[in-house]
Amino acid sequence: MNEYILQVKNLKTWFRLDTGTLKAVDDVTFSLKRNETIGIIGESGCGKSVTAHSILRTVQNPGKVLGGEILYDDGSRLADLVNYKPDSREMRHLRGREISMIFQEPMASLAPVYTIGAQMMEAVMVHQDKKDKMAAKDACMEMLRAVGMPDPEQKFNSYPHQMSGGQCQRAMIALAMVNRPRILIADEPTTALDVTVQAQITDLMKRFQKEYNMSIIYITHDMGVIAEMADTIAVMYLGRVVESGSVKAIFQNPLHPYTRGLLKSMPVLGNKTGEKLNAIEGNVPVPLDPPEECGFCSRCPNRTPECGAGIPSLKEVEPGHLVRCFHV
Amino acid sequence: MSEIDKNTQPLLEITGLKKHYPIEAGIAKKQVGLVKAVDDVTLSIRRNEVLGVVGESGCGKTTLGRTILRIIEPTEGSIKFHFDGKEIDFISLDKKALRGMRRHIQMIFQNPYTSLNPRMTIFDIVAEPMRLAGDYTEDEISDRVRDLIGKVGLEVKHLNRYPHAFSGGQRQRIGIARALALGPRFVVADEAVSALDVSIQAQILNLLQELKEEYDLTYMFIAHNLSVVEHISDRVCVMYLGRVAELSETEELFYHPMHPYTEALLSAIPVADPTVKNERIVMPGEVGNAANLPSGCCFHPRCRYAQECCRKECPPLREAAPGHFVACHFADSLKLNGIGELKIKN
Repeated sequence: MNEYILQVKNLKTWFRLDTGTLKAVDDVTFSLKRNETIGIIGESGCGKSVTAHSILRTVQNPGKVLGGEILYDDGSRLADLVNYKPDSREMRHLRGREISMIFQEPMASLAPVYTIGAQMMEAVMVHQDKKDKMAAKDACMEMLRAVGMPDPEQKFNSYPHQMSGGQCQRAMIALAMVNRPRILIADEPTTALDVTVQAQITDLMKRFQKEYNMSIIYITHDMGVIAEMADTIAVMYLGRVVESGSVKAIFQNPLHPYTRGLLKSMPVLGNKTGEKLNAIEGNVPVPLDPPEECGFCSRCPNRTPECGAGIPSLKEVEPGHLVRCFHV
Repeated sequence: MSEIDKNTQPLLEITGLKKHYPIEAGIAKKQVGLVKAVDDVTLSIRRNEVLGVVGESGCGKTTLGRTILRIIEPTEGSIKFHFDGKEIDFISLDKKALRGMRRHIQMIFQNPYTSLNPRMTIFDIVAEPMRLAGDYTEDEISDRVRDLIGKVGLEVKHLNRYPHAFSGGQRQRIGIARALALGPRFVVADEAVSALDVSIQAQILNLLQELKEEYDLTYMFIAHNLSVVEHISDRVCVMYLGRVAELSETEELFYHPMHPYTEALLSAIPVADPTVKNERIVMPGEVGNAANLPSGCCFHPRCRYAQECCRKECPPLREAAPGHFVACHFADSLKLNGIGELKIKN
């Protein structure tokens, strides 16, 4: 068995628009070990959600996965998901059963006209050979109890609008977990929630990871959450991974100027000095027909003429710590 | 630097402020209940101070901010502003006088994508408050808009564009320029940075601080991100179910909380350091229902220190230590952990 359950190599997902080519994901590389959590961090527009959708092959038109490899090891064989058609049998078998996803904004991601129970039952029945409704319902109820849903019997027959944001997110996790996936992709699962609920949800995910031997891809822009959740981190900027490594390496020895900027720009609890934050100048550019240069060079404090000359490659600086910068 | 004036009268004094919404049912619209969105809030804000207001969603922090500006009419209570030694009873102002007062008090809204009119140019958006105020000539307006737009970090060439051409951070800058157009003294910033990315959030926080120094502003900063609130605020007010749970100087509140709810909130903050983490205090259940408040102290169903009297009696907000207000029966006897003690080695 391979040490890595999922390896993404040089993934490219582009959107061909009338106005040009939007290179939402342009050369993303990372690998996920079994029973570990990788945190993908970046700001809006950096391509982290498109990366998640590329893995599940649910990228919306006109977006297309145009290159790279997504190697998934199910324990017996290695499959390259890029070779499957999005609506192929193989992909539908994987999606929701072996690889599941929790979406941002739980309120908006659950179907409003179906009960929580109906949505969970569908997920179970689709992946079940004998269509056994009773067994499916038992599985759903067990999962609703496991996620700590208050009053699960009643919530099984409730619609999303009858529940709070935290309850919707629990339902969403139950929905994603009901088939016991090997990989859970969580796309900003707690961004819309209060800190107290966020703490409950992240604790819940950690517990599930242990109980069901699950690997997690945790997508967020919150450095605090990632420090608690992740084993390794991939920092993304403008469709590329600019730095990746263990949590310790990224937090204690950040090497890419963007990672450093991100870490310095957030207020740290207990460090009230009255001084200004070190904001990163400028705005995130839109990767529409981007020039052949380092994506961060327009905002980088250490920029030199060399940075505009080409795209730096991802170099291994120390074992497991990769950086995409000319000056490292 | 402008100092917070602790000796003279506060800029704003709120006493017993309430906003209750009736729940009506049936054709006769019979009142069947009451949502106590803001319930008996008393606080004051000093000149040049930043008062942070935190709490979970539904705790009434936005309603409080809006009620103070009378965007929402309060049900009960008094709001008094002290400008240049004059006391203004804000609640009793009639419509005309209220419009006159609005120039001194402004608001920055949460969502930069919905709070700018998509059919107006940036120039018109920032100029509108001055046009409505009526005592500026078009030339003065034009000069001032150009001045403001530079102050918030945008360029004059942006003025003829429409909001859709700007990113979230830039839009928030436009919203700030609009709020400052009439030279206000008091600004309510309602989740002004919540919708923004981390690097942009830092830019806007810095901008708000610069503008505060330059224009002698006083902020009420409403947010749910405790690290941001700690960074920008001089004092912090923690709200729970429409009431003030705790109110104190920022450092005191984060290091020596006196209300169990504050302690639980602090323990839930994720620490951006993989070697330490916060000891989690689990609050059972969810935020109570403002339409059907628990008896006694409204936090008691989730409080791990709750005792019999908490179920019966609602604790008043009292000054448990100098400048440290708390609404808890056991504030003096409980030894609660602040962010210093909560951190444990991972």
